[in-house]
Amino acid sequence: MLRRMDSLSDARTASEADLARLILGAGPGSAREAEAELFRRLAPRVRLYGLRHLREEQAAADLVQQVMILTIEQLRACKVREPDKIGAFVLGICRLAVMELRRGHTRRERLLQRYAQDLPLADPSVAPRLDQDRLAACIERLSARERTVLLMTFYEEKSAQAVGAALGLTPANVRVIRHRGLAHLRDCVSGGEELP
Amino acid sequence: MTSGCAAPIELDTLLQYWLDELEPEASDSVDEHLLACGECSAKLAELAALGRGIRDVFHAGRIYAVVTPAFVQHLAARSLRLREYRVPCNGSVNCSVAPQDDVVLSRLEAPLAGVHRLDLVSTRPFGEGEDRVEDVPFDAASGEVVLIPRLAVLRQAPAHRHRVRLISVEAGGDRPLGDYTFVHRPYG
Repeated sequence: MLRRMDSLSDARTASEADLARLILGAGPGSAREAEAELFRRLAPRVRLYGLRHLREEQAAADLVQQVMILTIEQLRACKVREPDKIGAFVLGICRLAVMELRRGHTRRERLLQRYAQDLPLADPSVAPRLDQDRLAACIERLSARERTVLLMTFYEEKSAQAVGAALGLTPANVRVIRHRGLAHLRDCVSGGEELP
Repeated sequence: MTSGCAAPIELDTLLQYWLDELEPEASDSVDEHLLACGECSAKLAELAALGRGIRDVFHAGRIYAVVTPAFVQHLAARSLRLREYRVPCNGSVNCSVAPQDDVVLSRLEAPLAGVHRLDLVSTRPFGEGEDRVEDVPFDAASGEVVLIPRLAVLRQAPAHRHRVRLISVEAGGDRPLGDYTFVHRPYG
């Protein structure tokens, strides 16, 4: 049996399905902690989905607003049949919203006008930021080949196949270099070792 | 209660997903997993932050890189202001960097046909000795090696000479391909 969430710590320890069930049928403002917590957890995932499929920060931020507003609204209106599968429900909305954003027919403004005032929207653009001094020093430590492959991968946004074609390597070879380079970079960035 | 992921996605798969290298069905299945999994989506967020960080430090002119001619075309297509120096084999060039430049690059012309491993030896512009960069990537068909120096360092540099040598590493030993001299002057 679900009880009303009285504190933020209750919400923080609840599963996403429990949070969805608490919002189900609740009027605006009556499941505020649960809504805020669900937003806190799902908004970064929706943002990543947006970045992956739309490749643009602003479009991803728009997607977060649209998807989260619609999700909460559908929960409040009892239109989510399986709260246990809230992730799948959100994915469905994401897919439709991305299609709409690609078509340029965004409903963002209309939705914001209708619902934004009573929803606990946090800033979804907050993403991990790296220490640039350390990152630059870590990139300098990579082998020339690793550095070039990572630059072509992330700056030029080339696939392993395209990087391989440009450097006379097989795609499999590029994936190995890429994997090794990323592993070195992650270790260096998150490691405590002092760098010159 | 929130819990850890029972079937974590491998980092390589996440990377291939991020780079759109997976088959559509596999990509859909990763989408589905990520929307329901805080742990794996946090791992992907870390990967995305690294990718963005690489772009940011490159843009800030803080890393030295050897790139392909196609990479330079990509920079030009992004409307970045490029300052290019073409240096003939065993030649030299007078060079500088202007305040409005986004990227400075040098194209070192070299006979790369038949080269399997290329090393780059560079004199230290402000100290004694030299550094050797091993196994530099190159596109043999282009007949050139493209260097992008650290713009942030170059902007602050006083007048100096800098020499670079390209070496083909072969079974019988090193075979120098060419020497290149940069005569740098501060802008203005």
